[in-house]
Amino acid sequence: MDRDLVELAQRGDREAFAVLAKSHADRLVAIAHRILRDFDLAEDAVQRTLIVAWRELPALRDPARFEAWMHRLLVNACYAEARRARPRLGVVRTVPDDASTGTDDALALAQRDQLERGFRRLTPEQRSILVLHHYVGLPATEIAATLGIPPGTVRSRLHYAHRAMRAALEADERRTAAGGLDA
Amino acid sequence: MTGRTDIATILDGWLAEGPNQITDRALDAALDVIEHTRQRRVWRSPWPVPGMVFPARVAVALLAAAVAIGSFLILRPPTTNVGEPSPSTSGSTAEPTPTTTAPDVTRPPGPSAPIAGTVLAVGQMALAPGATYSTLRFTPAFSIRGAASWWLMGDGPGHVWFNSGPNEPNTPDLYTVGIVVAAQVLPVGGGSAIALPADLLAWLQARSDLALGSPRAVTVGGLRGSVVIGTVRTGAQTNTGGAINIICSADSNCLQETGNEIGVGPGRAFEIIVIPVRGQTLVIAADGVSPTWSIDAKSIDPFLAGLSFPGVTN
Repeated sequence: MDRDLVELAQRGDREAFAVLAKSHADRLVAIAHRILRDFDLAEDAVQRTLIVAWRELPALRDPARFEAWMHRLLVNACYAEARRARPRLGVVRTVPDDASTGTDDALALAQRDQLERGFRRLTPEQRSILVLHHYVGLPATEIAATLGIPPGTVRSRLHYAHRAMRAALEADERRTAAGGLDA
Repeated sequence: MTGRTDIATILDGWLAEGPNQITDRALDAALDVIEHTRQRRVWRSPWPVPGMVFPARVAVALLAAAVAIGSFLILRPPTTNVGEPSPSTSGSTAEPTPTTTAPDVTRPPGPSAPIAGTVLAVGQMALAPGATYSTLRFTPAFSIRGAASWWLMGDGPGHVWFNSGPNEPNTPDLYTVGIVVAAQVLPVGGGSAIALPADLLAWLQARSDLALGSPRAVTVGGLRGSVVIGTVRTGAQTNTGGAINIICSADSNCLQETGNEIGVGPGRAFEIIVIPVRGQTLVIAADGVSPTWSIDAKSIDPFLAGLSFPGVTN
């Protein structure tokens, strides 16, 4: 179905593109939010993606690659949003006061907070690769094809990102072992 | 210890959490813009023509190559613009231009519509160090020399964006260079775009949200212009992206929030170069990560030194 809609939209059919946009927008905003960690920025990135996709759609040679192409546009849009919002990216999410009800929950929340902190220290390029790999479920070769970068670059960024995230969690584990959680 | 498998599992679970639905407001707004946005028509190469036999393909390829070489030899200008000194008007430490070591330094520049070098693609692409890239859609056409960590982020008839980042852990910052055919400007604090002022630098100087140095003469890519270095004043009113959009490109919607505007975030130093050319105002804007331009210039100036506008004068 997507292929027919893509071909119609490539010929200027706005209704066909609207159907495509509505069917993909939720997935796109979920991906963008996981890269940007900010819902408003994620929606901005999706809006930008949809507008660019409409404008550039006639240049898409293979309609079957529409979804991968949209992922590429979305990641580019996320880079742009991250660049525009750089001062806000340093803000660390606060854990809700009423979210912690017990030791296990507190540990989970603490781990989430460490993950959040570690993730925000990554470059937008590393974040996008982590999200495409762990959330979208793409292997390194498919990420490379989607983003138009060498597979080795994907694996390298993935390696650094994993290492950084692991370090963030291990720092938390050391603090826990040394005397409990941060207040 | 948190092992490799553990971290993958943890990330799988953690990234599965979060919102999964766009708001109707955001989707409707995008579709509303699309309703008034024209698609870019693309020229499609007939190659390979279905049914064309191999010898015919070879003949077409040779003919195309002959036309390209002939055009290049006929249209190339007598002097070279490649490797102009970087715009060192900021008083910053001028980096040696990479021209002296780039493998294509002796390559003569192409005509006003460059044909030498790789054509910049639509959308994001990494720039190979030392390689020369040429624009087809942007007018006036230009060439840029690739450098490590620099990427094309997007382009159109009136704008081209480049970014650079170290791509290393815990160093998330990027340098940005935008080359724009200026069409309109956006006033302080938001509001509708207004006509491009005759003296753009004077208009920039008069803005209350920018702190600018004195304009200085500069030559970039063989074109003469003026440059100012500045920062966005603390407390300046920004858009939802945390930036101030100042100058709209010729193919921009000239909105405060989206489009192809030149914008800068508070507390960051930037450089704006204004070049009059062929009755248009060409603007090159660059910003980085530091409040001190001389630091950013060490990364940005060498990249701008690889810019040239073959066959274009002002």
